[in-house]
Amino acid sequence: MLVAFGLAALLIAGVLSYLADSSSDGLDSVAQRGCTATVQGQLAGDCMARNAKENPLAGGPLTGYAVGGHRGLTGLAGILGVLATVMLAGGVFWLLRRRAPSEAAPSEAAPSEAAPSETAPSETAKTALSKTALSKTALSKTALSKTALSKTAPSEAG
Amino acid sequence: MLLQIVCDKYGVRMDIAMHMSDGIVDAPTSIGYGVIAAVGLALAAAGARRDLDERTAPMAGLVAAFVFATQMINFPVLPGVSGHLLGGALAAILVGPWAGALCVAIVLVVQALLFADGGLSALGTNITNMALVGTAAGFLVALALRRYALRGRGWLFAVAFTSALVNTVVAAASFVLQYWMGGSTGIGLGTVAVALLGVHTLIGVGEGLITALTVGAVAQVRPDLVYLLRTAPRRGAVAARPARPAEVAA
Repeated sequence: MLVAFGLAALLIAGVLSYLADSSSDGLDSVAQRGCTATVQGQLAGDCMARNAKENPLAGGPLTGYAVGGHRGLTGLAGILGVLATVMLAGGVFWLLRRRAPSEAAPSEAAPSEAAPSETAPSETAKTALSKTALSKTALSKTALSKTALSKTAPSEAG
Repeated sequence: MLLQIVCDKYGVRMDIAMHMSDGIVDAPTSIGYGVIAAVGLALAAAGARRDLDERTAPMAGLVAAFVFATQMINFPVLPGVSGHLLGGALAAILVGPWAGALCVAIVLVVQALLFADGGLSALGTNITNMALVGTAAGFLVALALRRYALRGRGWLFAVAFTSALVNTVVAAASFVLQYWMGGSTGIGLGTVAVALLGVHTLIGVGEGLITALTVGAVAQVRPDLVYLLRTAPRRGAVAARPARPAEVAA
């Protein structure tokens, strides 16, 4: 699924973008209602966008989803944007993520427990609000597994 | 130039810009909303910590990439007017409201910095409208309708559609509020509001369809990666836990 999302993003940005409608979008249309664009690239008339200023970075290589001004390379611009987004967003989310608590020891101590019980602590771990809560969950699972082992031991011996 | 007039085989047309430019609202409003955006994103980051783990963090990164790509695809809504996905509801339904808000915000930042799409000083307003307000509104709708979304594919489609439509219209309303507070021209608010909300209702239909189709596709293959649907297993797990000691003692 993750790969599908990534591929879809690249395809959409790289290929589908050529089919995108080039009319002004909703905000721009309404904001420019009442103005006309002059050949010098100014807005004449009275509209919401009359005082709009250009983005200070507007001379950059990818401005306007072109590459070096070549509109025909908009697919490439899109792909570069997708990659930049993946790197930035991926980095931010990876840094923000909760690290998994070291549950390897407790789960090894209770091999007889069924699969649902192993998933339950990890599901509750997702609801934990802090690392302290996470370790408490792990400890309680350890306590439960020890109880399970001690209860089964006498019946097996008997 | 605000609008790079491009002469190509289609004649003279405007450069592609999708979000609010600098200068449409005055400086105090831009600065104020910059503060709001910063606070909102900090809260989103704190909330995202709870929702993101090693499985969902990569998904969130790819959702952001998907939102970026899909935002490039303008679709016609009226003659001479197009629309595009905003993505807040889509991201929130898939990775939760906090990570979802960050997804959209990151997309807006990449767009403003790399593509000069949307102003720089307008980033505060744009992030507030699309990443914070729109996402929150869309997610609240999805949350309110969650028990319907859990019923099946058709219901999930309807919930996702509605959530995304609300996301788009509310984001536009947030802009209207900003323009009322600090619009830099004298254009009356009444006509602006009606036109903008009307257009964004149409755009919201497109957003609704794209969101519903995408969420539906993910839910088909990996329902565990759909945040809105993910709360159900937790309840099941909580119910199972008290039973374990009883099973063992038997």
